[in-house]
Amino acid sequence: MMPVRSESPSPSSEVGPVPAYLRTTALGAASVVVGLLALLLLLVIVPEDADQGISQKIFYFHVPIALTAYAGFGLGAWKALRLLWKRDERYDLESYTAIHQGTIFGVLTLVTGSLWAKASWGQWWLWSENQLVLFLVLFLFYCAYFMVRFSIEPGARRERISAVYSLFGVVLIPVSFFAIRLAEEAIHPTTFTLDGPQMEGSQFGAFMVGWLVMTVIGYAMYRVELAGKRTDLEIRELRDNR
Amino acid sequence: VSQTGYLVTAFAVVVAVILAWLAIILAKAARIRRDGAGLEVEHGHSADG
Repeated sequence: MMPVRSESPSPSSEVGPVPAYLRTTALGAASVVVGLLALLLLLVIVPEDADQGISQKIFYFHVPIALTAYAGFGLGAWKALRLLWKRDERYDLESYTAIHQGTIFGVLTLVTGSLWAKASWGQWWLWSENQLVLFLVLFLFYCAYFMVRFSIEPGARRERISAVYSLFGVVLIPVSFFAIRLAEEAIHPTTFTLDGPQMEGSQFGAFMVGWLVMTVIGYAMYRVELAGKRTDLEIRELRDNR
Repeated sequence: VSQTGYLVTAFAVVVAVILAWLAIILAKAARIRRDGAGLEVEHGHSADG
């Protein structure tokens, strides 16, 4: 039966204004498209590496993606700390969304890294490499976050347990980051040392742009997903309270 | 697989994963909008009637 809307039509119910959530989604989509185009252009402009050839260009998005994954997990832990500190439940959703973004970028880090490893080392994965294994441990730890979270009924208890879990995980970030620098023998390249970036000016510039692009994409994805989850939650609460 | 093949595959994976995420988000947005419109209609109905 059709209804209510046709019985009492109003201009806003026929063609309503674009909701803020969809505007945010459009903005996020635009930033993703523009960012990826910029990165694609960079990959064409930056000169090839003398040793590894063109496959070395994976570096310009593999490392920024890994840093964005760390940022997602770090932001999730920060929001978790705020939740435990301020007892404000909105941080729970923010922490969960940030960790979700970190996990998406974690998958991309593992896949792009594996492709680069095959191209330059001839191996998809090396268990002897601390950097690889520690990142995998970090990634699996945060995959388990979702299992822990969704095994508990929604409420204050779930918020607290999820927050404490994500705070434990963040300890692995510096361990993962510094593992390669502490290892005596490693095949994984160390681009940033105490002497600065080990690359030419144009390569460093391209890397910085790649990092900026991935950070903007990651943040846009975080904002869009958070806006959607908030709206969804509000609608559920409205329905439950009717 | 050539060196270029690895580079193109890695970039394509990144684009594909982001597009898949975007598709899921847009599908959820459509559902949220439907739910919100449904609530609005029900509220309007009870208010009118």
